[in-house]
Amino acid sequence: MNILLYKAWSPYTVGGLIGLLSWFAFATVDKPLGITTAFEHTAALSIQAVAPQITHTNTYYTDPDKKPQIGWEWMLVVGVFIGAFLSSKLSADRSTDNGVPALWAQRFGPSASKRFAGAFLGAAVMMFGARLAQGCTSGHGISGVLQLAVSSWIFVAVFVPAALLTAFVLYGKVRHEHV
Amino acid sequence: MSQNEAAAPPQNEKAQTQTHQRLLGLLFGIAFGFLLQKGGVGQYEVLMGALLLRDITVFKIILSAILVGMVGVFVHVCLQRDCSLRSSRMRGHFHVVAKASPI
Repeated sequence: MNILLYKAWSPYTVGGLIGLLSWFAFATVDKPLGITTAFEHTAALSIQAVAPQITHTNTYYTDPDKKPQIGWEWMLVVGVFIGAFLSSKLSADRSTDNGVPALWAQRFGPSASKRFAGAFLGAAVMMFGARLAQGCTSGHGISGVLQLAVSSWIFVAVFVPAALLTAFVLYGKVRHEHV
Repeated sequence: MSQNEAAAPPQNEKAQTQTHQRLLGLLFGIAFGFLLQKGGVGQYEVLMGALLLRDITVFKIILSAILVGMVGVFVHVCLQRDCSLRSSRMRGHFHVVAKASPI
């Protein structure tokens, strides 16, 4: 059992097990392992709580198959937090950089608030893109690609070069020292 | 879950299905999160390493997940659609033929 205490597993083992997990997700609830749907539902439910009349005026809320809810996708994200927490606690694998990674500090300075603002803005752009595409790295990149979904293959073909380009533009000059 | 089941079950049965789905989602999430953490893809260094092409851990994980997952989806679809492997006369490649029965 002490394999659970390892700080990291082989990436091939991890990938293979995620693939296996996706089998069971398709077989039991017929859903892809995706993360961002839950965030969209949270936003939609928040709006609904503030302005309940929107469910009559906006067709987004009326589709019985897609309407926002605390369902499988939402609980999946709750589970991801718990699972990742358990894994890091079991292996005592925790971040030692106080929220400002060395590579970031080298490029943008040691300010934690600047780092958090950057992460927040980046996450907002990422979430906007992911919901525009109706999927993220896990929903399109893994679950969609493995189903040979055309939209997912297009997503990956655009997303990977765009991400590489962004990374090199932001960090190109300092990349050799840290990562 | 098929669409017919979702359409008009009695109220308590519907609630039971929903609880069941939430519980399953939680369990799948715990496993998924555990694996992601063990793979190291929650770390800034690993993710930026992938995007700066200095550390291919992320690509190893994603590609092996796709490879393994594909096999399951293939079998899953075949069980529902009655696939068969046939050799193509054109180039000698094997093609998967999904017969036109509905899912």
